[in-house]
Amino acid sequence: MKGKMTVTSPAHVASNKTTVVGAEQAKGGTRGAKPSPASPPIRPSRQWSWIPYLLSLPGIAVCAAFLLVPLAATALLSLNSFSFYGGIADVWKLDNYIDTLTDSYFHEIFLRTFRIAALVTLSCAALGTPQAYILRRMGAPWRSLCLLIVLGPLLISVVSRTLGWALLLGPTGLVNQGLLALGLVSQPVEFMYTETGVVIALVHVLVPFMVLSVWASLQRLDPQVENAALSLGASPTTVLRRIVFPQIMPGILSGSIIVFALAASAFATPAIIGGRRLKVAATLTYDEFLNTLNWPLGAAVAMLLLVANIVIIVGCNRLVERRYKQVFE
Amino acid sequence: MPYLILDQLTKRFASWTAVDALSLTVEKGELISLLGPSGCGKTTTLQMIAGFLDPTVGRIVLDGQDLLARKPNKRGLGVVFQSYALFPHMTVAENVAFGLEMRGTNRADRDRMVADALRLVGLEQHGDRHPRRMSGGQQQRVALARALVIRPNLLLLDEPLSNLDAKMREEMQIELRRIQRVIGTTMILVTHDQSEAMALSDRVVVMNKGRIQQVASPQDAYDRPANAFVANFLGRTNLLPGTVYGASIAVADTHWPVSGEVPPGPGALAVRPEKIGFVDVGGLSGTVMARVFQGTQWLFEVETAAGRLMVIRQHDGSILPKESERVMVGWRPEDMAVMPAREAA
Repeated sequence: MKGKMTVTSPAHVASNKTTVVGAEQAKGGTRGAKPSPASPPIRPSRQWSWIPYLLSLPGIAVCAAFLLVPLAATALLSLNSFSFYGGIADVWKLDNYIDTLTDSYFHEIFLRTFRIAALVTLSCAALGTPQAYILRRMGAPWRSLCLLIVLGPLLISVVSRTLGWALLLGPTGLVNQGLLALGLVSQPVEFMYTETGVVIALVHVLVPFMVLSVWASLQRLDPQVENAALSLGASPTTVLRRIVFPQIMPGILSGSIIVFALAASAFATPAIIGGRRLKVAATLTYDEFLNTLNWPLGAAVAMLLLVANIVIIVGCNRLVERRYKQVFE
Repeated sequence: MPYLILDQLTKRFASWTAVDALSLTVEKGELISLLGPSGCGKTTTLQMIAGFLDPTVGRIVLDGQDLLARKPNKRGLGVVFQSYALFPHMTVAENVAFGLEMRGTNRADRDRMVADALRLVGLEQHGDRHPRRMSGGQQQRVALARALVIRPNLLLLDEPLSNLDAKMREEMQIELRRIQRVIGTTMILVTHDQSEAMALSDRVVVMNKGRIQQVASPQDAYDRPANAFVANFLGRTNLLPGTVYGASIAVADTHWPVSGEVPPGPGALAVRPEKIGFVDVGGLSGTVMARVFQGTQWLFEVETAAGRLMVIRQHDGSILPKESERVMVGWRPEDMAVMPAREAA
């Protein structure tokens, strides 16, 4: 029945197919109110009308004022030059980009950023997908309770949550005490100021995005489809692998995009858990702006992070969409 | 020994009993319908046979083997769902081949059997299409082919035609009947549509509130309903209160012979509107309150001493009474069903 809805309402099709775009907007947050897709399946009149444009004007204005203008300003800033004695000079050169792209110091930071983001994304997919599936199969009172627990990290301020992890992950923290008590390790594991620690803390806060995204695609799954596969002789694991998984792939993908984008641009968690030395792109930008006061270089790093993010996300999106073409239609 | 035995099958949920001590036997090759309003327990019964729900109490024996001892994926049953439940990420041919693949059928046999199954449902040209791009009727055919290709020892159909429009539903009814004749698979059809059940089945099982009301051939259930529920569920009927005296029932000032065993005392008589005719002698006298022309037939409402009767007469040129005319109505004793008063409530 959902299928029929999407056929009659072009607006609905668009919102279904491009869950990915929605995900990116969730990241931006400041883009504000975009015109909501017409939910009743009414055929839009073919006549050109200026009313929709007028109605979306406030949204466009907010988006332009608070996203496009600062972005353009950052892009322009990144072309300027900087010297310790002369400050920011109003020149237009690609020097900052060339410096960043040729210096192995920056290579290491970018590599670390995307390594962490990739690990966080994979861990979130591996944890969040089964979590969403189990949640869907839960009974009435437990389901909402467990969902609240899953969403819990989002309700806590980033600073207190991250400092909480710092307490847990420290050499004498609860995690190491537990590991030592269980005899799993002979000496405390280093979590603080390591990529492992950053990944753990990021997975904790980002896994709800994956759960919600997979949950949404599970809602579109016909519950009888699993029974149909069972009746045809498939074992429960085969049902999961061959029937359920391919159909929730769009959800896993859009969840991965949100998680990857947020992990790659995360600031507070790497700053606190990773510390001053374990830099990622976001903390590097911060340092360039506020410590070195080299604003143009900071802007260039920020721009490169943005571009790299877009390239990676769009590339992966293409790849997965091609592989699971039918599910995305 | 019957092919399928449902013995005292019961499903209780926390606050209510969905299926209450249902016992039924089905012969091999039979097409039997579970018919009833929503919530009568018909789908629950089907799901217990398929293994998607475990019965609280009861036994299911198929071909001499205890079905409940086997998991749903080991029962070898074909199931067609109301929503079709096709795998949207697979082509039609892949959908149909899935069950064979699970059975480890080799590639060549699989391709041949899939082609045969698609030919049976008239979709041989559509093997590489995706289900979402097909009409409801075509999707239903794919679902049918997918269930039949594994040569199930029993085919369960859960409201298979309810998502189709009226014209398509009729086509699929004929199609289903034809396929059943060709392959001779035992089928259990769950439906709330009495005309669908009557058109397709060898026997209908009329259910209400988790209990079987009547098991009979469609004609028998229609002509001689066991109780008021069956009479009303299978089309319109007139229910007249009366008193049973051994071999006859008295309704107002008329007496009608009773065949079968109905205990003496208060009873009721059920007779279909189209079985009632206008007679000269020996019937119930009354007055025509209204008559309505419906194209192929006339609908009358006749007020009698036993209550208001609905009468349907064919528009075949014969002379019919007018409104407010005094008339006498009657019917053949074999066209009526007599039941104790408590069954008529």
